[in-house]
Amino acid sequence: MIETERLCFARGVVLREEDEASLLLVPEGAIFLNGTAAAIANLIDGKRTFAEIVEVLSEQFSEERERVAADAREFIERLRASGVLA
Amino acid sequence: MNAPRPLSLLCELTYRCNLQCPYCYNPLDYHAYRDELTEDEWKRVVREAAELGVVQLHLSGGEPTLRRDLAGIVREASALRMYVNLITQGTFLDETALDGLVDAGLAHVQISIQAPEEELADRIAGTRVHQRKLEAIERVLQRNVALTINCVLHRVNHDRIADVIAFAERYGVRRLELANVQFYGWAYRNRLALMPTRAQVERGMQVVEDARRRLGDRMQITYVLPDYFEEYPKPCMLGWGNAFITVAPDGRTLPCPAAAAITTLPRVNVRDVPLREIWEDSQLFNAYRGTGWMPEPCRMCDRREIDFGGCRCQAFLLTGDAGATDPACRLSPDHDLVVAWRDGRDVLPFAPRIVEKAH
Repeated sequence: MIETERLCFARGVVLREEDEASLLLVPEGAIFLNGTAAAIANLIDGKRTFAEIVEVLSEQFSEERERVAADAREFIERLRASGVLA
Repeated sequence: MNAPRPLSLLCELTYRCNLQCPYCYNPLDYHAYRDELTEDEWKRVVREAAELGVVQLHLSGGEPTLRRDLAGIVREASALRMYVNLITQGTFLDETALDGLVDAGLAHVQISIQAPEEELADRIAGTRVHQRKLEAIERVLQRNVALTINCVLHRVNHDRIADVIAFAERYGVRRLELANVQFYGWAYRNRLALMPTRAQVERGMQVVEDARRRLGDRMQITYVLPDYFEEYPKPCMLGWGNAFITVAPDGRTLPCPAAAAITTLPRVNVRDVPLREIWEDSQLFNAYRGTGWMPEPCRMCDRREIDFGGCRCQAFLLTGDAGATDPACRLSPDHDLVVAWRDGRDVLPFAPRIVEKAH
Protein backbone atom coordinates (compact mmCIF):
# COMPACT_ATOMS: atom_id res chain seq x y z
CA MET A 1 0.00 0.00 0.00
CA ILE A 2 1.19 3.49 -0.83
CA GLU A 3 0.98 5.51 2.37
CA THR A 4 0.60 8.85 0.62
CA GLU A 5 -2.43 7.78 -1.42
CA ARG A 6 -5.72 9.39 -0.41
CA LEU A 7 -8.24 6.80 0.71
CA CYS A 8 -11.75 6.92 -0.61
CA PHE A 9 -14.73 4.57 -0.54
CA ALA A 10 -15.80 3.14 -3.88
CA ARG A 11 -18.99 4.38 -5.46
CA GLY A 12 -21.91 2.58 -3.87
CA VAL A 13 -20.36 2.23 -0.41
CA VAL A 14 -22.08 4.05 2.42
CA LEU A 15 -21.03 4.31 6.06
CA ARG A 16 -24.06 4.20 8.31
CA GLU A 17 -23.72 5.08 11.97
CA GLU A 18 -26.36 4.13 14.48
CA ASP A 19 -26.54 4.57 18.24
CA GLU A 20 -25.12 1.14 18.94
CA ALA A 21 -23.50 0.06 15.69
CA SER A 22 -21.61 1.21 12.63
CA LEU A 23 -22.18 -0.51 9.32
CA LEU A 24 -20.71 -0.28 5.87
CA LEU A 25 -23.49 -0.68 3.36
CA VAL A 26 -22.36 -2.20 0.10
CA PRO A 27 -24.37 -3.42 -2.89
CA GLU A 28 -24.77 -6.98 -1.67
CA GLY A 29 -25.17 -6.40 2.04
CA ALA A 30 -23.99 -4.81 5.25
CA ILE A 31 -20.68 -5.18 7.07
CA PHE A 32 -20.84 -4.54 10.82
CA LEU A 33 -17.77 -2.69 12.09
CA ASN A 34 -16.18 -2.96 15.53
CA GLY A 35 -15.03 0.17 17.35
CA THR A 36 -11.59 0.42 15.78
CA ALA A 37 -12.88 -0.37 12.29
CA ALA A 38 -15.59 2.27 12.67
CA ALA A 39 -13.00 4.83 13.76
CA ILE A 40 -10.92 4.08 10.67
CA ALA A 41 -13.94 4.08 8.35
CA ASN A 42 -14.91 7.48 9.72
CA LEU A 43 -11.59 8.91 8.63
CA ILE A 44 -11.80 7.63 5.05
CA ASP A 45 -13.04 10.74 3.32
CA GLY A 46 -11.23 10.98 0.00
CA LYS A 47 -8.82 13.57 1.46
CA ARG A 48 -6.80 11.83 4.15
CA THR A 49 -3.93 9.53 3.29
CA PHE A 50 -3.18 6.31 5.14
CA ALA A 51 -0.40 8.03 7.07
CA GLU A 52 -2.73 10.84 8.13
CA ILE A 53 -5.41 8.40 9.23
CA VAL A 54 -2.88 6.55 11.37
CA GLU A 55 -1.75 9.86 12.87
CA VAL A 56 -5.28 10.79 13.92
CA LEU A 57 -6.00 7.32 15.30
CA SER A 58 -2.84 7.16 17.33
CA GLU A 59 -3.77 10.44 19.01
CA GLN A 60 -7.38 9.40 19.43
CA PHE A 61 -6.48 6.10 21.14
CA SER A 62 -3.17 7.26 22.68
CA GLU A 63 -1.40 4.34 21.06
CA GLU A 64 1.93 4.00 19.37
CA ARG A 65 1.91 4.88 15.73
CA GLU A 66 3.42 1.55 14.60
CA ARG A 67 0.83 -0.48 16.43
CA VAL A 68 -2.06 1.55 15.06
CA ALA A 69 -0.56 1.37 11.59
CA ALA A 70 -0.41 -2.44 11.68
CA ASP A 71 -4.07 -2.77 12.66
CA ALA A 72 -5.23 -0.13 10.20
CA ARG A 73 -3.21 -1.62 7.37
CA GLU A 74 -4.81 -5.02 7.84
CA PHE A 75 -8.32 -3.57 7.89
CA ILE A 76 -7.75 -1.33 4.88
CA GLU A 77 -6.23 -4.14 2.86
CA ARG A 78 -9.28 -6.25 3.59
CA LEU A 79 -11.53 -3.42 2.45
CA ARG A 80 -9.51 -3.02 -0.71
CA ALA A 81 -9.64 -6.74 -1.48
CA SER A 82 -13.41 -6.73 -1.20
CA GLY A 83 -13.80 -3.75 -3.53
CA VAL A 84 -14.97 -1.34 -0.83
CA LEU A 85 -12.30 1.23 -1.61
CA ALA A 86 -12.08 3.26 -4.81
CA MET B 1 -38.40 -17.51 19.90
CA ASN B 2 -36.92 -14.02 19.74
CA ALA B 3 -36.70 -12.63 16.26
CA PRO B 4 -33.31 -11.22 15.19
CA ARG B 5 -32.99 -7.83 13.50
CA PRO B 6 -33.85 -7.99 9.81
CA LEU B 7 -31.37 -6.11 7.64
CA SER B 8 -32.74 -6.45 4.16
CA LEU B 9 -36.09 -5.98 2.46
CA LEU B 10 -36.74 -7.18 -1.08
CA CYS B 11 -39.76 -5.54 -2.69
CA GLU B 12 -40.84 -7.35 -5.82
CA LEU B 13 -42.79 -4.41 -7.17
CA THR B 14 -44.38 -6.26 -10.07
CA TYR B 15 -44.02 -9.59 -11.82
CA ARG B 16 -44.67 -7.95 -15.19
CA CYS B 17 -41.72 -8.15 -17.56
CA ASN B 18 -41.10 -7.83 -21.30
CA LEU B 19 -38.43 -10.54 -21.24
CA GLN B 20 -39.04 -14.28 -21.33
CA CYS B 21 -35.94 -15.66 -19.65
CA PRO B 22 -36.33 -19.40 -19.11
CA TYR B 23 -34.45 -19.19 -15.78
CA CYS B 24 -36.74 -16.62 -14.16
CA TYR B 25 -37.36 -17.49 -10.51
CA ASN B 26 -40.76 -15.80 -10.47
CA PRO B 27 -43.66 -18.13 -9.69
CA LEU B 28 -45.29 -19.91 -12.62
CA ASP B 29 -48.64 -18.48 -11.61
CA TYR B 30 -47.36 -14.89 -11.59
CA HIS B 31 -50.63 -13.76 -13.19
CA ALA B 32 -52.18 -14.31 -9.76
CA TYR B 33 -50.17 -11.33 -8.43
CA ARG B 34 -51.76 -8.66 -10.62
CA ASP B 35 -53.30 -6.81 -7.70
CA GLU B 36 -50.09 -4.90 -6.97
CA LEU B 37 -49.54 -2.75 -3.90
CA THR B 38 -49.98 0.97 -4.56
CA GLU B 39 -47.17 3.49 -4.17
CA ASP B 40 -48.53 4.49 -0.74
CA GLU B 41 -48.70 0.87 0.35
CA TRP B 42 -45.10 0.25 -0.72
CA LYS B 43 -44.01 3.36 1.14
CA ARG B 44 -45.73 2.08 4.27
CA VAL B 45 -43.95 -1.27 3.91
CA VAL B 46 -40.64 0.57 3.58
CA ARG B 47 -41.32 2.65 6.70
CA GLU B 48 -42.33 -0.41 8.70
CA ALA B 49 -39.16 -2.17 7.60
CA ALA B 50 -37.00 0.80 8.61
CA GLU B 51 -38.58 0.69 12.05
CA LEU B 52 -37.59 -2.96 12.34
CA GLY B 53 -33.96 -2.03 11.61
CA VAL B 54 -33.78 -2.85 7.90
CA VAL B 55 -30.90 -0.94 6.28
CA GLN B 56 -31.10 -2.16 2.73
CA LEU B 57 -33.90 -2.08 0.19
CA HIS B 58 -33.73 -4.17 -2.96
CA LEU B 59 -36.26 -3.26 -5.65
CA SER B 60 -36.88 -6.06 -8.06
CA GLY B 61 -39.60 -7.86 -9.96
CA GLY B 62 -40.47 -8.83 -12.71
CA GLU B 63 -39.14 -5.61 -14.05
CA PRO B 64 -39.38 -2.91 -11.35
CA THR B 65 -38.96 0.02 -13.76
CA LEU B 66 -42.37 -0.83 -15.21
CA ARG B 67 -43.74 0.82 -12.08
CA ARG B 68 -44.18 4.51 -12.87
CA ASP B 69 -44.05 5.33 -9.15
CA LEU B 70 -40.62 3.75 -8.66
CA ALA B 71 -38.77 7.01 -7.94
CA GLY B 72 -41.24 7.88 -5.18
CA ILE B 73 -40.55 4.60 -3.43
CA VAL B 74 -36.78 5.13 -3.79
CA ARG B 75 -37.10 8.63 -2.33
CA GLU B 76 -39.06 7.38 0.68
CA ALA B 77 -36.41 4.76 1.46
CA SER B 78 -33.46 7.13 0.96
CA ALA B 79 -35.04 9.61 3.34
CA LEU B 80 -35.00 6.82 5.93
CA ARG B 81 -31.24 6.34 5.27
CA MET B 82 -31.82 3.01 3.57
CA TYR B 83 -29.38 1.78 0.94
CA VAL B 84 -31.47 1.42 -2.19
CA ASN B 85 -30.54 -1.15 -4.82
CA LEU B 86 -32.38 -1.49 -8.12
CA ILE B 87 -32.32 -4.91 -9.77
CA THR B 88 -33.30 -4.42 -13.38
CA GLN B 89 -32.83 -5.78 -16.88
CA GLY B 90 -32.36 -2.18 -17.96
CA THR B 91 -34.51 -1.98 -21.06
CA PHE B 92 -36.54 0.99 -19.75
CA LEU B 93 -33.69 2.95 -18.15
CA ASP B 94 -33.79 5.95 -20.44
CA GLU B 95 -32.24 9.31 -19.47
CA THR B 96 -35.34 10.61 -17.73
CA ALA B 97 -36.06 7.47 -15.76
CA LEU B 98 -32.47 7.10 -14.64
CA ASP B 99 -32.07 10.76 -13.67
CA GLY B 100 -35.26 10.55 -11.63
CA LEU B 101 -34.00 7.54 -9.73
CA VAL B 102 -30.54 8.94 -9.08
CA ASP B 103 -32.09 12.18 -7.90
CA ALA B 104 -34.30 10.18 -5.55
CA GLY B 105 -31.21 8.71 -3.91
CA LEU B 106 -30.60 5.38 -5.63
CA ALA B 107 -27.26 3.94 -4.43
CA HIS B 108 -26.75 1.00 -6.75
CA VAL B 109 -28.07 -0.52 -9.96
CA GLN B 110 -27.71 -4.11 -11.02
CA ILE B 111 -28.28 -4.67 -14.73
CA SER B 112 -28.57 -8.20 -16.02
CA ILE B 113 -27.38 -9.36 -19.40
CA GLN B 114 -28.26 -12.77 -20.82
CA ALA B 115 -25.03 -13.30 -22.75
CA PRO B 116 -22.04 -11.25 -23.95
CA GLU B 117 -23.33 -10.85 -27.51
CA GLU B 118 -26.57 -9.86 -29.08
CA GLU B 119 -27.68 -12.94 -30.95
CA LEU B 120 -27.38 -15.33 -28.02
CA ALA B 121 -28.56 -12.77 -25.46
CA ASP B 122 -31.73 -12.06 -27.40
CA ARG B 123 -32.37 -15.74 -27.97
CA ILE B 124 -32.23 -16.38 -24.22
CA ALA B 125 -34.33 -13.30 -23.40
CA GLY B 126 -36.83 -14.35 -26.07
CA THR B 127 -36.94 -10.83 -27.47
CA ARG B 128 -34.66 -8.16 -28.97
CA VAL B 129 -33.39 -6.19 -25.99
CA HIS B 130 -29.62 -6.59 -25.76
CA GLN B 131 -28.82 -3.35 -27.57
CA ARG B 132 -31.06 -1.36 -25.21
CA LYS B 133 -29.30 -2.91 -22.25
CA LEU B 134 -25.93 -1.74 -23.58
CA GLU B 135 -27.27 1.80 -23.80
CA ALA B 136 -28.56 1.57 -20.23
CA ILE B 137 -25.19 0.34 -18.99
CA GLU B 138 -23.46 3.32 -20.61
CA ARG B 139 -25.96 5.70 -19.09
CA VAL B 140 -25.51 4.31 -15.59
CA LEU B 141 -21.72 4.51 -15.90
CA GLN B 142 -22.01 8.23 -16.61
CA ARG B 143 -23.86 8.91 -13.37
CA ASN B 144 -23.01 8.97 -9.71
CA VAL B 145 -24.43 5.56 -8.89
CA ALA B 146 -22.71 2.21 -8.48
CA LEU B 147 -23.23 -0.52 -11.07
CA THR B 148 -23.02 -4.29 -11.06
CA ILE B 149 -23.41 -6.32 -14.22
CA ASN B 150 -25.11 -9.63 -13.58
CA CYS B 151 -25.25 -12.62 -15.87
CA VAL B 152 -27.18 -15.73 -14.89
CA LEU B 153 -25.26 -18.79 -16.01
CA HIS B 154 -26.74 -22.04 -17.28
CA ARG B 155 -25.96 -24.74 -19.79
CA VAL B 156 -26.64 -22.53 -22.81
CA ASN B 157 -24.25 -19.66 -21.90
CA HIS B 158 -21.89 -21.26 -19.37
CA ASP B 159 -19.07 -21.65 -21.89
CA ARG B 160 -19.10 -17.89 -22.51
CA ILE B 161 -17.86 -16.76 -19.10
CA ALA B 162 -14.56 -15.44 -20.48
CA ASP B 163 -16.53 -13.31 -22.97
CA VAL B 164 -18.81 -11.99 -20.22
CA ILE B 165 -15.74 -10.93 -18.24
CA ALA B 166 -14.25 -9.28 -21.35
CA PHE B 167 -17.58 -7.51 -21.88
CA ALA B 168 -17.51 -6.09 -18.34
CA GLU B 169 -13.87 -5.11 -18.79
CA ARG B 170 -14.63 -3.23 -22.01
CA TYR B 171 -17.15 -1.10 -20.15
CA GLY B 172 -14.83 -0.58 -17.18
CA VAL B 173 -17.38 -2.15 -14.86
CA ARG B 174 -16.06 -2.59 -11.31
CA ARG B 175 -18.44 -5.33 -10.23
CA LEU B 176 -19.52 -8.44 -12.06
CA GLU B 177 -21.80 -11.14 -10.74
CA LEU B 178 -21.75 -14.50 -12.47
CA ALA B 179 -24.57 -16.34 -10.80
CA ASN B 180 -25.35 -19.90 -11.66
CA VAL B 181 -29.04 -20.43 -12.13
CA GLN B 182 -30.99 -21.42 -9.04
CA PHE B 183 -33.81 -23.81 -9.66
CA TYR B 184 -37.03 -22.09 -8.62
CA GLY B 185 -40.08 -20.95 -10.54
CA TRP B 186 -39.50 -21.08 -14.30
CA ALA B 187 -35.94 -22.27 -13.77
CA TYR B 188 -37.21 -25.31 -11.89
CA ARG B 189 -39.58 -26.04 -14.72
CA ASN B 190 -36.71 -25.72 -17.20
CA ARG B 191 -34.14 -27.51 -15.06
CA LEU B 192 -33.31 -30.17 -17.63
CA ALA B 193 -32.48 -27.50 -20.17
CA LEU B 194 -30.51 -25.29 -17.78
CA MET B 195 -28.41 -27.56 -15.58
CA PRO B 196 -24.78 -27.00 -16.52
CA THR B 197 -22.48 -29.98 -16.88
CA ARG B 198 -19.74 -30.66 -14.35
CA ALA B 199 -17.15 -29.98 -17.07
CA GLN B 200 -18.71 -26.57 -17.71
CA VAL B 201 -18.68 -25.69 -14.03
CA GLU B 202 -15.07 -26.74 -13.58
CA ARG B 203 -13.95 -24.79 -16.64
CA GLY B 204 -15.92 -21.81 -15.39
CA MET B 205 -14.16 -21.85 -12.03
CA GLN B 206 -10.80 -21.86 -13.77
CA VAL B 207 -11.72 -18.99 -16.08
CA VAL B 208 -12.93 -16.91 -13.12
CA GLU B 209 -9.81 -17.72 -11.11
CA ASP B 210 -7.54 -16.62 -13.97
CA ALA B 211 -9.53 -13.43 -14.51
CA ARG B 212 -9.41 -12.53 -10.81
CA ARG B 213 -5.67 -12.95 -10.79
CA ARG B 214 -5.28 -10.84 -13.90
CA LEU B 215 -7.70 -8.07 -12.90
CA GLY B 216 -6.82 -7.76 -9.20
CA ASP B 217 -8.95 -5.12 -7.51
CA ARG B 218 -9.93 -3.52 -10.82
CA MET B 219 -13.00 -5.76 -10.91
CA GLN B 220 -14.81 -7.70 -8.22
CA ILE B 221 -16.08 -10.93 -9.72
CA THR B 222 -18.61 -12.92 -7.77
CA TYR B 223 -19.02 -16.43 -9.08
CA VAL B 224 -21.91 -18.22 -7.46
CA LEU B 225 -21.46 -21.96 -7.79
CA PRO B 226 -24.46 -24.14 -8.38
CA ASP B 227 -25.01 -25.83 -5.03
CA TYR B 228 -25.65 -29.12 -6.79
CA PHE B 229 -21.95 -29.31 -7.50
CA GLU B 230 -20.82 -28.61 -3.96
CA GLU B 231 -20.64 -30.83 -0.92
CA TYR B 232 -22.82 -28.72 1.32
CA PRO B 233 -25.87 -26.57 0.66
CA LYS B 234 -25.83 -22.80 0.38
CA PRO B 235 -26.57 -20.82 3.56
CA CYS B 236 -29.86 -19.80 2.03
CA MET B 237 -30.94 -16.28 3.10
CA LEU B 238 -28.49 -16.68 6.03
CA GLY B 239 -31.26 -18.69 7.64
CA TRP B 240 -35.03 -18.54 7.44
CA GLY B 241 -36.41 -15.41 9.11
CA ASN B 242 -32.92 -14.34 10.15
CA ALA B 243 -32.09 -11.26 8.07
CA PHE B 244 -34.30 -11.09 4.98
CA ILE B 245 -37.88 -10.17 4.19
CA THR B 246 -39.48 -10.44 0.74
CA VAL B 247 -42.73 -8.78 -0.23
CA ALA B 248 -44.35 -10.03 -3.45
CA PRO B 249 -46.22 -7.61 -5.77
CA ASP B 250 -49.57 -8.22 -4.07
CA GLY B 251 -48.21 -7.78 -0.54
CA ARG B 252 -47.72 -11.43 0.23
CA THR B 253 -44.79 -11.51 2.62
CA LEU B 254 -42.20 -14.27 2.60
CA PRO B 255 -38.85 -15.18 4.17
CA CYS B 256 -37.34 -15.54 0.68
CA PRO B 257 -38.38 -14.77 -2.89
CA ALA B 258 -38.86 -18.43 -3.79
CA ALA B 259 -40.87 -19.46 -0.75
CA ALA B 260 -44.27 -19.01 -2.43
CA ALA B 261 -43.53 -22.43 -3.93
CA ILE B 262 -43.88 -24.02 -0.49
CA THR B 263 -47.60 -24.70 -0.56
CA THR B 264 -47.73 -26.22 2.94
CA LEU B 265 -47.10 -22.90 4.72
CA PRO B 266 -49.71 -20.34 5.79
CA ARG B 267 -49.99 -17.17 3.72
CA VAL B 268 -49.58 -13.76 5.27
CA ASN B 269 -50.00 -10.38 3.60
CA VAL B 270 -48.62 -7.03 4.66
CA ARG B 271 -51.89 -5.49 3.53
CA ASP B 272 -53.58 -7.24 6.44
CA VAL B 273 -50.88 -7.54 9.09
CA PRO B 274 -48.19 -5.05 10.18
CA LEU B 275 -44.69 -6.04 9.10
CA ARG B 276 -43.41 -6.22 12.69
CA GLU B 277 -46.06 -8.74 13.59
CA ILE B 278 -45.29 -10.80 10.48
CA TRP B 279 -41.56 -10.74 11.22
CA GLU B 280 -41.77 -11.47 14.94
CA ASP B 281 -44.88 -13.55 15.47
CA SER B 282 -46.11 -15.13 12.26
CA GLN B 283 -46.19 -18.88 11.98
CA LEU B 284 -44.62 -18.47 8.54
CA PHE B 285 -41.48 -16.63 9.67
CA ASN B 286 -41.09 -18.82 12.76
CA ALA B 287 -41.54 -22.11 10.90
CA TYR B 288 -37.83 -22.68 10.24
CA ARG B 289 -36.23 -19.92 12.28
CA GLY B 290 -33.14 -20.87 14.27
CA THR B 291 -32.09 -24.49 14.63
CA GLY B 292 -34.89 -26.01 16.74
CA TRP B 293 -36.88 -27.23 13.71
CA MET B 294 -34.00 -29.20 12.26
CA PRO B 295 -34.20 -32.91 11.51
CA GLU B 296 -31.24 -35.28 11.49
CA PRO B 297 -28.60 -35.02 10.12
CA CYS B 298 -28.73 -31.21 10.54
CA ARG B 299 -29.66 -31.29 14.23
CA MET B 300 -26.25 -32.54 15.40
CA CYS B 301 -24.24 -31.20 12.48
CA ASP B 302 -21.28 -28.89 13.10
CA ARG B 303 -22.41 -26.86 10.12
CA ARG B 304 -25.94 -26.13 11.34
CA GLU B 305 -25.05 -22.49 12.10
CA ILE B 306 -23.04 -22.21 8.88
CA ASP B 307 -25.56 -23.27 6.25
CA PHE B 308 -28.74 -23.37 8.37
CA GLY B 309 -29.89 -26.64 6.82
CA GLY B 310 -29.72 -25.15 3.33
CA CYS B 311 -32.73 -24.06 1.34
CA ARG B 312 -36.28 -24.81 2.50
CA CYS B 313 -37.70 -24.24 -0.96
CA GLN B 314 -35.31 -26.69 -2.56
CA ALA B 315 -36.09 -29.24 0.16
CA PHE B 316 -39.80 -28.83 -0.56
CA LEU B 317 -39.50 -28.92 -4.35
CA LEU B 318 -37.44 -32.11 -4.30
CA THR B 319 -38.83 -34.04 -1.32
CA GLY B 320 -42.25 -32.52 -0.66
CA ASP B 321 -41.13 -31.66 2.88
CA ALA B 322 -39.93 -28.09 3.50
CA GLY B 323 -38.52 -29.22 6.86
CA ALA B 324 -36.16 -31.79 5.36
CA THR B 325 -32.40 -31.33 5.05
CA ASP B 326 -31.64 -29.65 1.72
CA PRO B 327 -30.97 -32.54 -0.70
CA ALA B 328 -28.05 -30.53 -2.12
CA CYS B 329 -26.16 -31.55 1.05
CA ARG B 330 -24.17 -34.74 0.63
CA LEU B 331 -25.33 -35.78 4.13
CA SER B 332 -29.02 -35.56 3.19
CA PRO B 333 -30.84 -38.90 2.96
CA ASP B 334 -32.36 -37.53 -0.26
CA HIS B 335 -29.06 -36.53 -1.85
CA ASP B 336 -29.49 -39.18 -4.57
CA LEU B 337 -32.31 -37.03 -6.02
CA VAL B 338 -29.81 -34.27 -6.69
CA VAL B 339 -27.17 -36.66 -8.01
CA ALA B 340 -29.62 -38.23 -10.45
CA TRP B 341 -30.76 -34.87 -11.72
CA ARG B 342 -27.28 -33.31 -11.82
CA ASP B 343 -25.60 -36.21 -13.56
CA GLY B 344 -28.58 -37.20 -15.70
CA ARG B 345 -28.27 -37.21 -19.44
CA ASP B 346 -31.70 -35.79 -20.15
CA VAL B 347 -31.40 -32.44 -21.84
CA LEU B 348 -34.46 -30.61 -23.04
CA PRO B 349 -34.76 -27.37 -25.00
CA PHE B 350 -35.90 -24.57 -22.71
CA ALA B 351 -39.40 -23.17 -22.67
CA PRO B 352 -39.52 -19.39 -22.40
CA ARG B 353 -41.39 -17.74 -19.57
CA ILE B 354 -44.75 -16.87 -21.05
CA VAL B 355 -45.31 -13.16 -21.48
CA GLU B 356 -48.54 -11.82 -20.12
CA LYS B 357 -50.91 -10.73 -22.87
CA ALA B 358 -52.22 -7.19 -22.80
CA HIS B 359 -55.86 -6.88 -21.79
